[in-house]
Amino acid sequence: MSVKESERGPEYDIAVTSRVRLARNFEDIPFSARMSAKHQAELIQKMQQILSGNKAFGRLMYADMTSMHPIDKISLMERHLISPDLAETKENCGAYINEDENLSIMINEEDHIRIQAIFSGIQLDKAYKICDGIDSIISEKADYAFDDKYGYLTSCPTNLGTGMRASVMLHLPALVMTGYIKSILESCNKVGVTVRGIYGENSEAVGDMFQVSNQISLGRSEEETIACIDGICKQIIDREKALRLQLYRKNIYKFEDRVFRSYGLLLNARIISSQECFKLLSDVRLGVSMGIIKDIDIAGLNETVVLSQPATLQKISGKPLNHDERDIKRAELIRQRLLPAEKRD
Amino acid sequence: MLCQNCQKRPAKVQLTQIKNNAKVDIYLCEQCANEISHTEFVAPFGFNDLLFGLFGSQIKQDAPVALKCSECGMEYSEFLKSSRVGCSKCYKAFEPKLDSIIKRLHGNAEHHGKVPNRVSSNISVPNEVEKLKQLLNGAIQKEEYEEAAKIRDRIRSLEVGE
Repeated sequence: MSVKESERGPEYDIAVTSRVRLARNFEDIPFSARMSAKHQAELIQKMQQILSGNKAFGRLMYADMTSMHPIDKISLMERHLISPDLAETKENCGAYINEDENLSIMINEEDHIRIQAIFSGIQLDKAYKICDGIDSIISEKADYAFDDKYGYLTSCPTNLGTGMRASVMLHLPALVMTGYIKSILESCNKVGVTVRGIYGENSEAVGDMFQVSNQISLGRSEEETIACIDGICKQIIDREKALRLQLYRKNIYKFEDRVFRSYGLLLNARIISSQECFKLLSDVRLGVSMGIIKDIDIAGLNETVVLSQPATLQKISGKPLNHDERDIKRAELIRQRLLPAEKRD
Repeated sequence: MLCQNCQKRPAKVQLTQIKNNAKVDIYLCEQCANEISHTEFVAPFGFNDLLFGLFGSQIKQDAPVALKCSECGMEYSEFLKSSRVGCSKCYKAFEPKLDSIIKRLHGNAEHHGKVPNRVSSNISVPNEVEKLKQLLNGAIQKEEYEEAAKIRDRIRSLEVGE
C-alpha cells in the first residue's frame, strides 16, 4: 500500500489493495542462481536502456539497493513496492518505481525482473493491464526466456506459465472473530488459491489482514486466474460483510465496546508496539467501515498503518530509533493522525 | 550447529527460557527439546522443504540418472537443493524428471495465456488460433454469426500465414 495512495477502489474498506506481479527472465542471461556480479550489472544496464526515455507509464525513478540506506529499503518493502528479498539483498539490484508509487519493476530479484502494480480495492484487472503494458514494451526490445510448453521460464518452477501472481489483501476481522477464517483457508487451498500474511510467503497474518493469491500459474491464462481470484475475493467479502452485521446485531454493546475501547487506547496510549497497534487499528478499521466511528477516513487509516511500521516510522522521524523510541514515536504519530483536526496540537 | 544438549544431532529448535529474570536461548534438536520442555516440538517447515519433499520423493524411485544442463552446468541434484534452475535451458535438460513434478505443482504442464511479442511465429500462432477457436465456439453458441464469420476469417488468415 503506497503512502501516496489516496484513491478508493471498489470495496476498499475490506479489500485494502489488489496487486499483480509478473516474473520474467531474459533468454541470453543466466538465471539468478547462476548469475555473476558482471551478469547482474549487465542486466541493470539492459533494463536502463529499455526503460529510459519511455514515457508511457510516467517518470520511473531507479531505487538502487546497493547505495540505499537499510531503513529506506525496508520502508519501500513496508509500502509493498519491493519484496522482502530485494530489501535484504545488498548488491547489484534495484527497482524502478513510478511517481504515483503504484508500479515497480524489480531487477535481480529471484527472477531477472518482476513487474508489479498495486491499487486500492478490488482492481486486479487494472493492475494486470498496467503490468501487461510494461511487459509488452520490454518484450519488444529484448528476448524473454519463453517455452511453448512451460510458458515464461522462471527461476522456480512454481512460477512457470504466466509468471503471474495476482493477490488481494483483505481485512477480515469478523471471519477471524468467528473462527470461520479456518474453513475459508482450507477451501481456498483446494482450488489452487493460497491465503497468507501481508508480506507474502512465510509471513504471519497481522491485524486480521490476509493476502489471497493464485498458487497455480501454469495452464491457466492471466484472464482466467484474475477472474478466479476476483470471484473468490468477492465471495469472501460478502461473507465478511454478512458476519459483521450478524455479530453487530447479536450484541451491539459488546461490538461497539470493542471498537471504541481500541479507538480509546490508540487515542491515549503513550507507548505502543507495532503488533498491538495493528490489532487495535483492525478494530478501528472495522468500526469505521461499519459507520460506528464516523470522523475517520479508511484511506487515512491505511496510511496510518503504513506510516506506523518500524522502518517507515524511522524514515519520517529522519533518524534511526531504537525499539523503545519507536514505540513512543508510533503512539505519538497515531494520536496525531486519529484525533479530529481541531484537537491536534 | 549441533544440539547444545546431546551434542550429536543438528539443532533445529530454539528454546527460550526465563532464568532468574534473564532470557536464555538454547538450541536443541527436536528430540532433546521434547524431553526438556515436555512439549511436542516440530521444527519449522519452510516452503523449500515442501518442494524438496515433492522433488525428493521422485529421486528415490529413479535414482542413478544424472541430468545436467549443458548451458550453465547445473546438475539436477543442485536444483533439488535450491529449487531454482540456473538458466533458460535447464527446463529442457531436466524435463525427463521435472515434467511430472511440474504437473503435480500446477495440475497441468501446458501454458495457456500471454505469449511474448518477440518469439518465432510457430510458437505464438497455435496459441492464438486456439484462443480464437474458443471465441468462435462461444459466438456460434450465442448465435452471433456475423462475429463468428469474422473470427473464422482471422483463424484462416493465421493458419495460411503459418
